[in-house]
Amino acid sequence: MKRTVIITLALLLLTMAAHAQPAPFELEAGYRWLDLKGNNDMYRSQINERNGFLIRSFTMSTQTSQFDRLRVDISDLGVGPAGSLRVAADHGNLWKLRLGYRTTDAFSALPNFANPLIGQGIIPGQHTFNRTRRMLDIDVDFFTDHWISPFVGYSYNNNHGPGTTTYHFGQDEFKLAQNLTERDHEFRAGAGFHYGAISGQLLQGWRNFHSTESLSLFTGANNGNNPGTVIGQPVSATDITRVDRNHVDTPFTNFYVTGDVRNRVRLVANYVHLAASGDGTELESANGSFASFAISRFFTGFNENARSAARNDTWRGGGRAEVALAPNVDFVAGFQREHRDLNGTALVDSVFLNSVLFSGADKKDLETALNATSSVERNTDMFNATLSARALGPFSLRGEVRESKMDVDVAPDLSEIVVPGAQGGAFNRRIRTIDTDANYAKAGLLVGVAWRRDRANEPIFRTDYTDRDRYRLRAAWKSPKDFFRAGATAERTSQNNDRPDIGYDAHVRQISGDVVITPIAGLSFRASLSQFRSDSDVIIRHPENFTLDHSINLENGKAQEGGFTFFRERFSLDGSMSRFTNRGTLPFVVMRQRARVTYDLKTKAGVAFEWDRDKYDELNPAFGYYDASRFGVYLRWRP
Amino acid sequence: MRLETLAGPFLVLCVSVFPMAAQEQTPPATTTAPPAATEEAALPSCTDCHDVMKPFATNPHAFGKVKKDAPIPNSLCETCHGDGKEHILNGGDKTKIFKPVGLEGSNKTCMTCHDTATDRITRHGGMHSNSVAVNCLTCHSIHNGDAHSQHLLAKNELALCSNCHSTQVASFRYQPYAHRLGRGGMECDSCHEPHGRPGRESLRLTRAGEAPCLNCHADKRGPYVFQHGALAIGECTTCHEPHGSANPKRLKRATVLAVCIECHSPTGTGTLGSQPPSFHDITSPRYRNCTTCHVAIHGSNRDPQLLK
Repeated sequence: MKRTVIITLALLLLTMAAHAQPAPFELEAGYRWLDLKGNNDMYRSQINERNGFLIRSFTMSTQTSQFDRLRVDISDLGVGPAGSLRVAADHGNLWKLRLGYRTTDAFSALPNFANPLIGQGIIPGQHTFNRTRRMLDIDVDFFTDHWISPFVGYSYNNNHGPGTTTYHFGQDEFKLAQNLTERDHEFRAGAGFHYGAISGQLLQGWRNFHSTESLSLFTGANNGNNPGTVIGQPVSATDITRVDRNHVDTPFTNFYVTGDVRNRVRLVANYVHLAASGDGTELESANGSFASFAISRFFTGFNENARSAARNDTWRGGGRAEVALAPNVDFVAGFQREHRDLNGTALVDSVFLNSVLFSGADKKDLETALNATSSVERNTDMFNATLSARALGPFSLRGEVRESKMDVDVAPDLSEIVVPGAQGGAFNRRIRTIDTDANYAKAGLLVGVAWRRDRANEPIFRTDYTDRDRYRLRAAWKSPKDFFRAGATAERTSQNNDRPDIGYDAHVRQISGDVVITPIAGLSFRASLSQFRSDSDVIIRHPENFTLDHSINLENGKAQEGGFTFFRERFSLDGSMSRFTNRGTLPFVVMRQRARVTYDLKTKAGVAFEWDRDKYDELNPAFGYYDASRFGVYLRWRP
Repeated sequence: MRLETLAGPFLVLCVSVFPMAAQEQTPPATTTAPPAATEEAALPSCTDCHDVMKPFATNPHAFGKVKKDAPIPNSLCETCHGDGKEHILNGGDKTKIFKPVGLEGSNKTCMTCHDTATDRITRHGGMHSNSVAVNCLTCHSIHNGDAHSQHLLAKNELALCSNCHSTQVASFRYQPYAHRLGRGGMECDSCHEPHGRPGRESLRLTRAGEAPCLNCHADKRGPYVFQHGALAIGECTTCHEPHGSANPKRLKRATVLAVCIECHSPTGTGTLGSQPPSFHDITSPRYRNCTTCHVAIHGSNRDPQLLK
């Protein structure tokens, strides 16, 4: 990666030097150093900015003889953790190209999340990954001014990399090394059309997803997570291997059409359908000393062969009418119906080698077969009607009513049911919503209030609300000449389900405000304060003794930030610092400092220095502490 | 395919092409030639006074309408500002020229060309419905757009959305587990349609009509033989915070146990969420970390209990 960026930069410099004439682009590229103290895994799980070369930004927008428009944008391409390249090019009305590329490094190795061994001081947890996702999108439209405009497109999404995971097997949990490769290709073609008052688009796509996951027993994990014996017998593994392969084909269709009626009424109809069909295979083998309560036996080896097929058939269709009742006064009403049908079958053939009953008798290879089918069918109808007055003097008003009605049928396979109940059946949930907002905007002042009320008849999940209310108040004022700007937002969402056996009650309160003062041209100060408080409470049942209890989650965060920007002729300086404190269920403190200095050595060239410091500290226990500073030195070129 | 490898040569190509193009530039075939009225030729050019117009040649609104090394034709400015003759003849009298501002400015200029409706855009009833509070010119600056933002945005996207959605932006900016916005290609509009898609939160669906999360997290699409109900019937946000979260994995609760047990406690009837067997002693660390065993939490093709 580093080599690629070095070569890129070198070629860029050579090319520009060779031409030595104005070119309308801005390039900022250089090197970033990392100085890290504390937990590297936690730092990488949250931020993951590493040492290396980086094209910090590149923007070019121009006309050429080949392109009526050519625009290239790059952001953070290089050492990551996320970078992108975008290209937009047009050649008259003959063709239009859009290309987007993104790469993202995803790293996770959290010390005290989902880690049953944290009490023994073993960090990080056993679920880790270090993966890279690369995504490419290309779309080309042809004859963009014709009544019919064909287009083709392609998307590619690749996610791959190593990781570790766990496997509950033989009455113990074993850590496994994992290698994952996922590739998704999407081809699409279609045409947009515009004929008189009618316009629309028809798109047909074909998606092909393939994944391979290879797993093997992690070095040194032979004894599993749990010491001791199972019915007097130790459980251990000498090897475990598994290879999972999945393949999903998904053709899909997306169509919409709009029509204008005398410039007063606009009708829009849409339809989208996807039919995903997946096939999977699994091969697994294990050797060691294991136990199974499901077959009431000890065994020394295991072979499994599984084949599966799953389908997702989903369509959605509907329409809406937009009616201009008067200038800036509109009525919009629409209806959507969505149908989703999921079903699957699996044939799993398992052989337990050298199995014996817990009593020690009946030694044999035991074969079990699972032939499972499952299905979920979901139908959702959504209706909405909106009346909006977009300008009544300085006021704008909007009111909307919505109804969403969901019917769900779940048919689990018997093999899914360990404790009967709450795993299948028919569910109906209807939500009625009133959503309103009003705004006042005049002379730099903006005041807005919004209220939304949702009422549902029944929950499907226990954390579904039956009553929800959301309030929002917003105000901002900007003085003439932008000398002063202040804004504040307050939001409160309350949701609950008063059913006595659920007792769900949750609130989110957020307040934020910011001020920007620009006393002289080129100098501005800013400060912001935000507070986030979230609490939820729901009745739960302890599985081990069936007693009822409360699951309570609290987040109480407060953020303060201050900063300034100064620029004068060749020099600019931007600095800020912030502190975020959470005193909730997972208390922590995040402190951030940022500084960026640019200096133009010449009209066309300059340098930029960046300093970013992030300090994270979990208060109790402090497994995740880190203090990371990144220093970047970048060359700026603007021919 | 490692596209970083291609990025370098591509950049070089772009840089190489431009200077040549700057020399060879000719009006595109589709150029609409500005009116060659002698009256206009006799008038001063708008760019004589308005420096902001000088770089307008690279503005999308000027494509095909500006000749190489020629001044920006006044007719181009007049597309939005109306006839400028009186303004010029009166020494730049600001009252003699139309300056598009606010909703009226949007309606009289932008919407004369951009008032389109598609499945995902409405400018008449959605969240951003071209009102006095939010209109085209609230977010777009035709002359002074942010150089690094596409679509002539007045500022970079995060700063722009922050003007009204400061609480949402705060969760990206301050929470330790957050999608990385503003750098590296992900922006607010990666998931939200800013032009007012009718429906919930103006979400920008995939081309196949799925939730925007699946644009990147393609592996979570399934389908699985054994679907986790939270995904099959609910949605990603049943368990995850889409913006930023204080909790690892952007979960809605601080611990795995809390995420799972709140649904998997069937204390009554009529809800979905199975009862864990009684050997799940949640006072023991082994059973407080559900995903240690139930690793295939989004769905599985082989194991009904999502163990693999």
